[in-house]
Amino acid sequence: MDPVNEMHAAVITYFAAEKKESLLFLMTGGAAIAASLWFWITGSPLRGMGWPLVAVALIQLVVGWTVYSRTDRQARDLHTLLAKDPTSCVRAEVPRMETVQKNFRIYKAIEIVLLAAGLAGMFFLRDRQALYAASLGLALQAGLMLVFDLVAERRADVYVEQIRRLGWRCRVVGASSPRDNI
Amino acid sequence: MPKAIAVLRILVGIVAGYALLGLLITLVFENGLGGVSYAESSAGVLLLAGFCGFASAVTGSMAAALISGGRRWITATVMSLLVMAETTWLVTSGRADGPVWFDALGALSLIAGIQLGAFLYGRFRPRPEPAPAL
Repeated sequence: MDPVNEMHAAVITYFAAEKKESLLFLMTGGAAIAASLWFWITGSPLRGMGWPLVAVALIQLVVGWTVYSRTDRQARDLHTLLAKDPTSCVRAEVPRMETVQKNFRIYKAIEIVLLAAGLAGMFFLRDRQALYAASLGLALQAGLMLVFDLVAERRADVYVEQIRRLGWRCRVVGASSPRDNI
Repeated sequence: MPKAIAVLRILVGIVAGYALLGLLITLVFENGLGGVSYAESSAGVLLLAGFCGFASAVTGSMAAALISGGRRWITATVMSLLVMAETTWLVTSGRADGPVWFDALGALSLIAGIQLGAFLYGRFRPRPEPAPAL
């Protein structure tokens, strides 16, 4: 396949998956808020779970909505740039994705700390109902976020690798710009 | 309420165990082995990656069993189903870079590791002291 077309395909695959994951974030956040409300309304002893569930759910909703609403535009801009000047597209996309990868490492560290804190609370605060419930909620949300981000990080790694490889091929076959072919 | 707590602990165990499994595999494959790919890695690296994946699955499964309060077969079953679902998705969506048998073998080794982890947890979990004989 022509390297530029392969890059178009890589962009479509990556951003479609990003959009799906942002929907997953929105659904998880919604479910967490619904569960917290249910705990509060029923006066459940597990209502302490509500605090970490809602706190992380708000982040999930904001991140999910931001990614969902900007993905189509981002993909469209990339396709346009790719059609005009593939080399510039690679030059712009690789540093952007490197920042994304760096941020994933930070998120991962935070999630691991929160998961460890939640698990520690589950084992050491068994006698304090509200704190035990809060620890359960924290461990659940931090664990879910960690799984989501591990999947997203892997996807970003594959995408960056593809973009780099295809960018190199573009230069090799001399398709850096449609004007070069005139 | 103890039932709700038990269900939540199982849920947390599964999520945390699966996250640990993924985290260990990412750490070993990306940082330890510098990236693993069927097409590009040597046979030795692939073998080592297979063993490390298996060991990660054992560790993740034991952690899940511990967090869930010893309900090891429930966590092991759900984690195995998750591995099956993830592998099926990777293969059918064309995201896997190797042949189907390679990914199936990888998934089977993870499932075997998860089951072994549950078994080992049962063997080595701390048990209460037996009451002294009168």
